[in-house]
Parts: sequence; C-alpha cells; structure tokens
Amino acid sequence: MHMWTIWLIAAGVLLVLEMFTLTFYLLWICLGAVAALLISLVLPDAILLQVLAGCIVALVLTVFTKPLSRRIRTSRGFQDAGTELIGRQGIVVEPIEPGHYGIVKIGGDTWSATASVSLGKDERVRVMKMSSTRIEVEKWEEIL
Amino acid sequence: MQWVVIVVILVVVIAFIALTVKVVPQQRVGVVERLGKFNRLLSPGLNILIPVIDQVRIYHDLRIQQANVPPQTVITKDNVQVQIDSIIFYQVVNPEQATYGISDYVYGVRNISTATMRQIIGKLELDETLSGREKISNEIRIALDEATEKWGVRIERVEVIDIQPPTDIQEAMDKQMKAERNKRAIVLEAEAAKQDMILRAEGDKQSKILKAEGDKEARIREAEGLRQAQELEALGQAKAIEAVAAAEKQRIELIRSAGLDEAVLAYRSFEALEEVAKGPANKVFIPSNAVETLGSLGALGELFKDKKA
Repeated sequence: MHMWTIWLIAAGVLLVLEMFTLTFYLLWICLGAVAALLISLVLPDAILLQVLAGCIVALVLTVFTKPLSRRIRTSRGFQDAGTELIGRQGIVVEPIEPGHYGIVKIGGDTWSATASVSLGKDERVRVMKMSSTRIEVEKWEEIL
Repeated sequence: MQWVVIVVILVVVIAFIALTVKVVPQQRVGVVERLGKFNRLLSPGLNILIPVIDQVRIYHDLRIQQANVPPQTVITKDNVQVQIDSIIFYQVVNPEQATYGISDYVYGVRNISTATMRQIIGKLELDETLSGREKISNEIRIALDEATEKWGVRIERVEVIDIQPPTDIQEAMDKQMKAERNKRAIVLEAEAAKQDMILRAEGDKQSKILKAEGDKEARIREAEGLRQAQELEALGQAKAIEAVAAAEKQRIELIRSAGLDEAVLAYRSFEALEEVAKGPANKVFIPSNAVETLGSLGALGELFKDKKA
C-alpha cells in the first residue's frame, strides 16, 4: 500500500468523525493529514517528514482558531429566560418586610425578595439586583 | 525505530490539540482552572485553552434539572406519620459557586429539600398539610433560598406529588366525611319536616279562624233576620187586632144604629134554621113546643131590652 492512500484514509475517517462529533480539533488533524498526503505525493519515502508536516499544519491551525472562536463567540446564542431578571416586573406574593424575605412572582417563577421598604401583597415591583437565589426589588412606579 | 518516533509524535500532537480546542454546547458551562486556581468560565461555543496549564475542572448543565425524592415519612404537628413524595426542580445559576461552594449539589439539594419539608410539615397539622399546598411551597421557597444562596443553585420548586396518611387515619377521615354528609342530610330532612308541620298548622289555624268568623257572621245575620221578622209579625198582628177591633166596633155600632129588635131577631133565627135545614145530611125536627121556645126567645128579647135601658 502506498503511503498516500493511508493518509487519505486517515483524513477521510477523521472528517467523518468530526462531522459526527463536532469537536473541531479532529478537523484540524484531518487537515494535517491532508497536508501529509500532499507531501507524500511528492516524497513518498520520507515518512517522518510527512508526519512532521501534518503535525505542524494541525498545530498552526489550532493556534489560529483563537481569532475564529472570538468571532463565533460574539454571535448570539440561546438566552435563558430565567437568567435576565433585572428591570423586570414582578408581583408580591408574600409581603416583604425590611430585613426579612418575602416572595415575588416574576413570570411564573417565585423568588425570595428583599426590599428597603415594606411591600404588601399584590404590589408591583421592579427587580433591582439579583444574586443566585435572591433578588432585591423596589416599588414599581410608572414612568411618566 | 522510526515508527516509534512517529507514533509518539502523533500521540503528543493529537493530545495537545485535543486539550487546546474545546467546543462547549449551549446551556453548558465549564469551569477552567489555571494551575489549580479558578480562572474563568467556558461559555458555549469554540474555546481555546492553554494545554496542561489550563484545565477544565467540571462542566455544569444550566438547564433545569429534576430530582426525585424517595417517599419520606414525616410527622405532622398532631403526631400523624405521613408519607410525602416530592420532586425537586433546580437549576445551576452560578457555576463557580456550584463548583466551589458545595461538593455535590445534587445530593445537597435533595437533602436540604427533605429536611426543610420535614421542618415545615412538622409545624402544620394533618388537615393543613393536605390542603395548604401553596403555603407549604411558599415556606419552602424562603427556607431553601436561604440555604442554597451560597451553592449557586436555585431550587425552582418543590412539588409535593403525594401526601399519604396511614391507612387507618385515611379510613377515619373517610368515616368523618361520611358522617358529616349524613348529618347534613338528616338536618336538612328535619328542617323540611319542621317547615312542613309549621305550614300545615298555619293553614289549619287560618282555616279554623275563617270558618269561625263565617259562622259568627252567619248567626248574627240569622238572628237579625229573625228579629226583624218577629218585629214585623208582631206589628202585623197588632195592626190586625186593631183592625178587627175597629171592625167589630163599627159592626156593633152599625147594628145598634139599624134599630135591632125582637122581631128581627126572631125572623133571623128562623132564617138560620132554614139554612141549617138546607144541608143535605141534615134532618130537622121542629119540636111541638117550638112556639114555646119562641116564647122563650121573647124572654131573651126582654133581656136585651133591659141591657139597653
């Protein structure tokens, strides 16, 4: 078997695997194998050279992933509805006393909430701050 | 020899690249440590790490997770053991805290939920636990948020799937309910009977009153009629008597003025005899001493004369 066929098979298998798993680094290795394939067509006997060339190509591509990943990162992904609460309106379910926690309902979810003033039941509030499980609210006042 | 070098190079390069490029799927996040210290979070998408120096400690799933809590025996305030089956929904909101704040947040979430549930139900009576779902969930909310604040995990809700009282209590509850319904039925029946009797009595009373009133009026009217009739009768009689008396007086006066004497009387008595004799079944025998009788009539005439004088 010629060396270049081995590289071709390796490249094909890697490409298929990449398409199934989408891990991205297999793609770079696959491109490295393609580079090695090109070398093997010119110099069929220098196997070590082929391997080194393939490795270097793969490594270089990996390093150049960084600017690519930055561009991908700026694109908009899925936004979890529950994660952005600040500025949203909620309704007090359990009265809030300063220093004690009450319960505020925001879009179907209930949150423990604290406030600087005491708020009665069914009052509308705006979310000011948010920690992992608790929120800070203030009275909702219509913007005139 | 050459092949060994090739294999080593390949393995090293592949491992190197595999450690460098990390693709993180949506709603997952990795925690990166640089030489053992927390460095950053891996956001979804393509990420580049420095191999060997950077290490991904753990991946967190940011979606809402469910954890089943096996049935727990809980004692209520009135000392009834109930089995509570619940399910917990939670979500990792702060991956750093979920990594460094608690060793195993799934286990922690499960334990804190059951402990809190026990505590809250221990303060309630059996009836309240069966009906006060809202209250339970509100109280659990506050207690859990307090506990899980540092864990970076928010427990969305704790749903009580089933509350099962022991069978004997359940039977007693069934009986109680049945008795309650029976009681209501009996009370309603009694009330209906009472109303029925009252209505009947009232009707009776009214009818009697009406009857008595009618009787009274009828009698009064009757009596009035009788009185009027008697009065009228008496009046009529009085008038009749008066009229008869007046007529008698007039007759007598007329007879007197006509100059009544013995001869007329005798003549009249003969006439009367004649009348008597006319009757079909009568036979009149005039006795031989009729003349004598007539003579006695003359004596009668004397009598009249005396009276006149």
